[in-house]
Amino acid sequence: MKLNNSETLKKVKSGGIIYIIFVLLIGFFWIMLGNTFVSFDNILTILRQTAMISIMAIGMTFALSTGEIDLSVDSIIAFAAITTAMVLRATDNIILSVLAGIGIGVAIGFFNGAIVAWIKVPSFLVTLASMGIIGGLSRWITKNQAIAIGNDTYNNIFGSGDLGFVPGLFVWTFFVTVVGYLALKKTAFGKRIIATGGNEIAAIYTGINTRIIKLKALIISSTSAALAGMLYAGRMHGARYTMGEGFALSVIAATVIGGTALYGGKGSIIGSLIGALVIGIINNGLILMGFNVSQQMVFKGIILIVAISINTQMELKR
Amino acid sequence: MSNLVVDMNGVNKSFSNVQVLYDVHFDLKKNEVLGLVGKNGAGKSTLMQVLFGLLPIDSGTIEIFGKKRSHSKKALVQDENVAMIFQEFSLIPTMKVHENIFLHNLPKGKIGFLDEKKSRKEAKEILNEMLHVDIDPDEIVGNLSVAMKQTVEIAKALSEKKKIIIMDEPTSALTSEQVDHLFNIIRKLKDQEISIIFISHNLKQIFEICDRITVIKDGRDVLSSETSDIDIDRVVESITGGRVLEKENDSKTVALADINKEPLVKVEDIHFGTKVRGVSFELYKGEVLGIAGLLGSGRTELLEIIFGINKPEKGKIFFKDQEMGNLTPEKALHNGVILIPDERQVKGLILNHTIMQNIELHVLRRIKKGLFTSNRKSRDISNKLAKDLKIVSQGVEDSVKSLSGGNQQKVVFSRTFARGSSILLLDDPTVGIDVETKQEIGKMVKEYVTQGEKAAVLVSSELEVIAAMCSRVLVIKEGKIVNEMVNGEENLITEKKLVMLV
Repeated sequence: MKLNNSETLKKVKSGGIIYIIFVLLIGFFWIMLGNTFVSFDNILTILRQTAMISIMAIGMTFALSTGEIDLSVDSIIAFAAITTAMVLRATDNIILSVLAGIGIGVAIGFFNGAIVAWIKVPSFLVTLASMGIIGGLSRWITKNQAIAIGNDTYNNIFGSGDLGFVPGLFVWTFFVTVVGYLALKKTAFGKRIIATGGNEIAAIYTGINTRIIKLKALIISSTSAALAGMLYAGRMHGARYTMGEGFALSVIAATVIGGTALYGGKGSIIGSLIGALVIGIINNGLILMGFNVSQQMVFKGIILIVAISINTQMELKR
Repeated sequence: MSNLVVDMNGVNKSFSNVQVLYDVHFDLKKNEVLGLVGKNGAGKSTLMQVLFGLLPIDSGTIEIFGKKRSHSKKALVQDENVAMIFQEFSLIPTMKVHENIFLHNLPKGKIGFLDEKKSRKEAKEILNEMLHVDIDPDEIVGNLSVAMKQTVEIAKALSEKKKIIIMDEPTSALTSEQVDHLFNIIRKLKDQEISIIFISHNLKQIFEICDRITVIKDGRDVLSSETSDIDIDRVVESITGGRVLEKENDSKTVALADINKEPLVKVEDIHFGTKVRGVSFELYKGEVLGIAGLLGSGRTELLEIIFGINKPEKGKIFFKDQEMGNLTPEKALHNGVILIPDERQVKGLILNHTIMQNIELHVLRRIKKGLFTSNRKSRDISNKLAKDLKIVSQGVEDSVKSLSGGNQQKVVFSRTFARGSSILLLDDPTVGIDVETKQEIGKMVKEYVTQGEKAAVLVSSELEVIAAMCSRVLVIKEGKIVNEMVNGEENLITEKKLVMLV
C-alpha cells in the first residue's frame, strides 16, 4: 500500500480520491474487525451485495454524463423483477422472460428519454414522476403479493449461481463494467455522450444529435436497472414490489464519489464501480460491527458526506 | 502633487515558474483614457487582474491614489477604487437589469427592505441619462443581446462610483452607433474625474478615444505615449515586434467569383421570424462572399439556417443543386458545410474539456479502429492540427479554458481542416482576437477556398476584415439584403463604402 510510486500517484490524482478512500475504508474495517472482514467468504458476500448497485451505477454514469439523471431506477428494479417473474411463471420460458424484463427497462427508458428529449422536461422531474407511476404499477399488478420463481436455471444464471468459485453476480458485474467502460471511453458514442453533457449547445454545433444521445443515455440507465432487478429476483428466488426501495440514492452517491460530475461532461465507469464497492464495504462493515439499522443509516450518511467532500475539494484543487 | 491615480513599478509576476510580467511599469493619470494594447497572452489581463486586486505580485510596488498596496496574499482584496468590465460578463442572467446594476448596494427603504421603485428609478437615470440607452430596467438580463449586457455592466460600474474603470474589449459586440455612444459616455466620465483603462485590439478605436497608449509585449511594457505623438503603424510594430503586417486588400489578391458556373449553395427567399425577411443569394466556387451587417441584422440567424440549426418558415436551400429539406447540422456537415459560430465559448467549445477532446468530435470516423476509437489516432490528428494552425498551448491535453481568445478561436476553426469541409460559414470569426491571429485566420481562409470546389461566407461587423477578404459583399439590414458590391478593377470594395451602406 505504498503510495510513493509515481505512476500510482498519477492514477490517484487523475482518478480522484476514490482510490484512497477505498483503501482507507478497507484498512479501517480490517483493523476493527480483523479476519471476519477480510475473509474469503466475506469478500464474496461484499461482491454479491454490491453487484446490483454497481451495475446500476454504471448505467447511471451514462445518464449523468449527458447532464441528466434517472431517479426511476428504484421502481424499475421491482417492476422488471416482477415482469420477469410473471412471464416465467406463465410460460416457464427463460428467454421470453429475460426479453420481457430487459424490454421493460428499454421501454421505460424510452418513455423517460422521449419526454426529456422532445418535450424538454428536465429529467429530474420526468424520472421522479415515472418512479411513482412504475412503483404504483408494481403494486397494482401483483396486488402487493410476492411472486415466486421456481425455475432453478433462471435463478442460477441470474443471481444465485456461481461460476466455479466466482459468484455469478460478480461475473455479471464484470461483464457490465467492461461493456460500459468500452462504450463510454472507447467509442464515438461515448464521446458524444460526454460532449452533450459538457456543453450541449457546442455539441449541437458539431453535428451531434443531443436529443437522441440523451434518449439513449436514459435507456441505458433504465435497462441497467432492469438487469439489476432481474438479478435481484434470481437471488431472492422471487419478486416483490418492495425491491429496490432507496437504491437510487446509493447509486447516485456511488457515481459521484467515483468522479462522475452531476452536471455532466465528466464520467468514470471504473470510478462508479469503486464508488459502489465503497458503499458496499461501508454497508458490510457496519453490519459486521454490530450496528443496528438506524445506527447504520447515521454512519453511512456521515461517511458519504466526508467522502464526497474530500472528493470535491480534491477536484477543485486540480 | 502627483497626477497619477495608479503608479505601478517594477512589477514581477510568475505562475508556478512561468514568468508573465517582467519588471513592468504602468501608470494612469487622473481624467485620462489610457489605451492598453498587446497580443493575446502578452500579459495585459494579468496586469489588470493585479491592479484589480485579484492576483498578488512577486515583487514591485503598487500605489493607488497615493496609497501603497501591501504584498501579502492575505491582504489581497478587490480594490475599492477599481471596477473591471470583462469580456465575459459578471451579470446574473436570471435577475432583472436594475437588480444587477445595484447588486452590491441594492437601495433599501426605511424599514430595511429593498426599495424596488428607487432601484428602478436610479437604474433608469444611469441608463437613459448617462448612457443614452433604451433598456428596460425590469428586463431579465438573460434576454438581452450581448451589446446590451455590456451596457448594463458599465451601468453597474457607474453605480458603484468607482474612480478607475478597466474596460476589457468593450466594443467587440457593439454596433458603430453604440460605440459612439460609449465613447460619449467615456468622455463624460472623464469630466467626472474617472480614469479609464481601455483594452482593445481595435487600434482605430484606441486612437479615437484614448489620450495615451501603453503597449505590453511578452510581459514587458514596451511603449507608452500620448496618442497625438504617435501613429498606428508604430504601435503595430511594437505590438508584434518590428514586423509591420501587410494589408491584404489588393484587388488582385482577392479571388473573383466564377459566376458562370453552377453555384455551390443557393438560398431562396428564406424567412425566419422577424430576423430574416426574404433573403436570397448564391455562393460560387472559389469565392469568399462577405455579408456585412450590424449585430441584430439577421446575419447570424441566416448562417444558422443554412447550417440547419434554425428552421425557416419559408424558403429553400440548395447544396449543389440538391434541395435540402429538414436541414440539421448533421445533414449540413454531411454535405460538406461547416459553421464556425460566433460566441465561441458558448457555441464553439466545451470549455472544461481538452483541446483534443474538442477536436476529436469532428474526426470520430477517422479515429475508429474497428468498433472502438483510438486515443493515439485522436492525439496524432490533434497534434498535427495544433501544429498547422500554430495553436499555442501546453499540449493537446491542455484544457481549452486556459487558452487565449485567439488560440481558442483557432481550436474552433480547426474543425474546418479536420473535416475537410467545402463550404465554410464564418460568423464573426475575428472578433476579440489579436491582430496576428486575425491575419493568420484570414490567410488560411483565402488559401483554403482556392483549392477544389470550395467557398466561404464571411459574416462580420469588422468591415475592414470584409474589405480585405471578400471579392463580393452583400449588405444585410434588418433581415433583408439591401445591396451587393462586387470587386472590380475600378470599383474596389473598401471599408469606407461599406460603412456607409450598413
